[in-house]
Amino acid sequence: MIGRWLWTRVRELAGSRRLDRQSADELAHHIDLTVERYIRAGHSERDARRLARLELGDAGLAREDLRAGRAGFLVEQAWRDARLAGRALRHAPGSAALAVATMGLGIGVSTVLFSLLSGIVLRPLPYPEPDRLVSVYQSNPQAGLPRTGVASGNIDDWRQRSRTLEGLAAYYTTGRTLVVGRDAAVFVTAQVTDDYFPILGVAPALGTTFTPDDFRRPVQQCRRPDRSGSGGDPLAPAVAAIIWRRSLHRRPVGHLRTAIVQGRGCDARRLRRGG
Amino acid sequence: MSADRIDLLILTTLALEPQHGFGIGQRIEQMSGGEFRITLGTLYPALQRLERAGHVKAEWTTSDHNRRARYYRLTAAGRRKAASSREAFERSVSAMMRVLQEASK
Repeated sequence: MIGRWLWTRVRELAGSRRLDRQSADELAHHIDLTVERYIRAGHSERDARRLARLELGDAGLAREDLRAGRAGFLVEQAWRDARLAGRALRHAPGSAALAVATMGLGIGVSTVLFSLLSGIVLRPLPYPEPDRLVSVYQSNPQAGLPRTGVASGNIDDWRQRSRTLEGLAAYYTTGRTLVVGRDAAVFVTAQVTDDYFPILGVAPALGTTFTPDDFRRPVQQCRRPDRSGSGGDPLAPAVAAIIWRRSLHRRPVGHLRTAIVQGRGCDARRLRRGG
Repeated sequence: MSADRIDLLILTTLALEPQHGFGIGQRIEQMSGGEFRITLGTLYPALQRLERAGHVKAEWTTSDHNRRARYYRLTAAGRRKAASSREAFERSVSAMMRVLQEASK
């Protein structure tokens, strides 16, 4: 039983074209006999053909059904499509190359775009409740600037009058050179308001961010620290973990208050106090 | 018409003698008093189905008019299938009739 089942399918796979021709012959034979019957009944050949078609239905559809009923129908179909495609490409190498190049370029561009999109837009910000974070900008339509920095006085005003935001923190980025021992490297640094870390909902892995002590001391004006290490920025920076590991070799950051040697800027408290 | 009933009609026809497709169609039409006319799209897929199930066997031969034709004949399994299908069908029809007669009493 299984042997016969297998044999039927192997035969169908191997001789599918022959079987298809056979079923075409068989259907044609059936139609011929029906036409003859109508002619014997006194119809013209044209009428007989029409009547036969009415009685028997479409032979092409029947042939399709028979083909679909045989084993390997899908394999055969796919193979036929592939052969047709191969032949078409061989006949037109120019457009084949063009098509391959176009598809390659298209796939490449979409991949890059998707990576960017997923990195920038789709992947959520690395903070708890990222959907509650918004960026606020000021705009200057007269100067054609959709997004500009915000004056610290405005930030104070916004804080007082906003009903939609739970809090509003500000930052100001600037590039600075960090000197550690004999090495120096430029980093993007930011001065931030004291509520910056609580609003983002992050805590430092090591040490502290702002402490109440930081705000009891008098405000100092920005000034360039000298090489002796005195009179520098009064606050130690919060350092990204990756920088701490790679550039600072996991050393304490307390000494960095004297290590920031370039870049102007004011300490964080000035923003807080609207200075 | 359901596939079961088509199959039963074909098997019953072939139980009389081997036939080609046209002959099967003619027989069914005649014996049903012109009630059943079977299209190519119904008949040949049914024959293919029966052949794959091992109920009929097909062979190319030269017909009486000296034309090549594919003749179908019943296998032993087909004969058994015809008997069991007929029984099932008769049971179903008589049950149906009983219901109809009960309802019209």
